[in-house]
Amino acid sequence: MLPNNCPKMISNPARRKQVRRIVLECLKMASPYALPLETLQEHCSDLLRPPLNFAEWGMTEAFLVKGNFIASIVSDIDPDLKQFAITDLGKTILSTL
Amino acid sequence: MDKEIRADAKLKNLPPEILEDLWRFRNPEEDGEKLTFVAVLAELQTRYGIVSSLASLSEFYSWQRMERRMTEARARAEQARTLLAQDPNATPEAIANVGHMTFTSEMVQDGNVKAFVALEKIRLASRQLDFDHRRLQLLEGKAQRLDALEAKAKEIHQAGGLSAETLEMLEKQLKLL
Repeated sequence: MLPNNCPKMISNPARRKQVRRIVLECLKMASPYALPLETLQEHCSDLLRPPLNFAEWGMTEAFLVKGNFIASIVSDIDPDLKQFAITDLGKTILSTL
Repeated sequence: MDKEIRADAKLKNLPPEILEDLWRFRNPEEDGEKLTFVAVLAELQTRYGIVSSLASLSEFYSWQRMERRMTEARARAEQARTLLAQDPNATPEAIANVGHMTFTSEMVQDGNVKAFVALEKIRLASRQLDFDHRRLQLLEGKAQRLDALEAKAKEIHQAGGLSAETLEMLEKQLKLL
């Protein structure tokens, strides 16, 4: 579970870009498979200083899903397991970040 | 103007041999000595002429650990797909699924490829069982209708003839068979 603190970080454009890049990098490493939500958040937190927080994740997820850079996937094994995979557009945008 | 390369990206984009050396510095073989970040920085500069910082090196090692873990998970998923593909009953969908399942399991916790292949085989067998069950139900229904017809035929035989209503009913039943 991500910490729900540091709302100021959202207004920092450099940090916002860094979070998007890290999320896309993690998903690119897993490609062509999808990563479960919690695993993705853990990996992102490992690569970010300070770690990812709840508000940042919500904003980043909304931006990346809306822009079709990542796709939300329902698991066959457990329909409650939320997973994400990078799209081709996401791979392209990652090279520009 | 060329885009400036980030300090951590400089390390991530090194040739595979140097990446392997960097991994070995922090994860040595059995008798090897684990180097500190400061020692790794010094080694980088003397051996390869690369200047980096502690922060970049720390981030790089987090990235490398994750990258290796994902590579291993992808390899296991591929192994599971290959194993299941040897089963003649496996469908392309089931093979793709077992790959995803293995990868997910590997990423969630240390998974077991054989267990996943076995699980997928059980799922296939279960689907076959459902199919056999439906076929059995159809056969039972058919047998029941046949029994009903036999009983009716006996009844008609005892009554001494066929009425128009009975003939219609028999035709309907025979169409169902």
